[in-house]
Amino acid sequence: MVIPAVRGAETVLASALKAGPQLTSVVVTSSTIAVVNPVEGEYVFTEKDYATFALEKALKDKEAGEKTPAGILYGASKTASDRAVWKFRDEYKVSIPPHVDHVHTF
Amino acid sequence: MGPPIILPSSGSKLNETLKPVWDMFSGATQEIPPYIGTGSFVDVRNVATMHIWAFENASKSDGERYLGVQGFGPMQAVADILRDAYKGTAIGEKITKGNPGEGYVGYNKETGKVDEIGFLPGARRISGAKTVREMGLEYITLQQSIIDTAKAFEALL
Repeated sequence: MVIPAVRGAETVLASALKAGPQLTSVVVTSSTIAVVNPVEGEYVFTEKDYATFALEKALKDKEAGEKTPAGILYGASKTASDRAVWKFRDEYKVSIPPHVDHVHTF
Repeated sequence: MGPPIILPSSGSKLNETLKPVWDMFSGATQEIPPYIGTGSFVDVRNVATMHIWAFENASKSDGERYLGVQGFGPMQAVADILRDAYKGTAIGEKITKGNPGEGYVGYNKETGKVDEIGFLPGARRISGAKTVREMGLEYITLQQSIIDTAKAFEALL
């Protein structure tokens, strides 16, 4: 689930780059699952928060040869593809400036 | 969440987000489905507006994240909204009941209306306030979203 999500994001962005100057902005739809981590109590999550728990758990499970529950894998895939988008933005903002925005939705 | 523009040939073919709402609306399930993802809610029409705003205001939105969250969207509240909207009708009789008001704050036991959908004390929550502040977005409530969705579903009954 994680690898196709990352490759999917990379492929779409690489294809979009081929449009050349026609490409002015990239708006990315993500998920609140890429924002939240397990917490105790009444914590309020905002745009400053990045989910890390699910991807870390999935990577640990993979190393230990254990199966990761589907719900955790889903969250892990969202965090991993998000990171791929930010990485793409960092790499390409000098040569072709795409505006990479994140719209995080449910 | 929200009314689909293109309806499938049957309710059972609706997407993962709408299927639980359909199951309660059509009475296909006797139980309240679990909430999806983080349990937060936003209407799909607001999501569309957010995307257009981000594109049209690229100098402001560049490198930013925006959370589209109106609030809490528990499935029991969805059932309560549907049952109130279709009260006294043949459709209403079939709608899944569950335990009205359970799992959220704001169900009015006397009127059977969902006045608000608040989190239970101690619950984690996600704020969609930045989107209101910066985009000027007005969120569609869960009540409105569910009523509009059910209207679209009527063609599938």
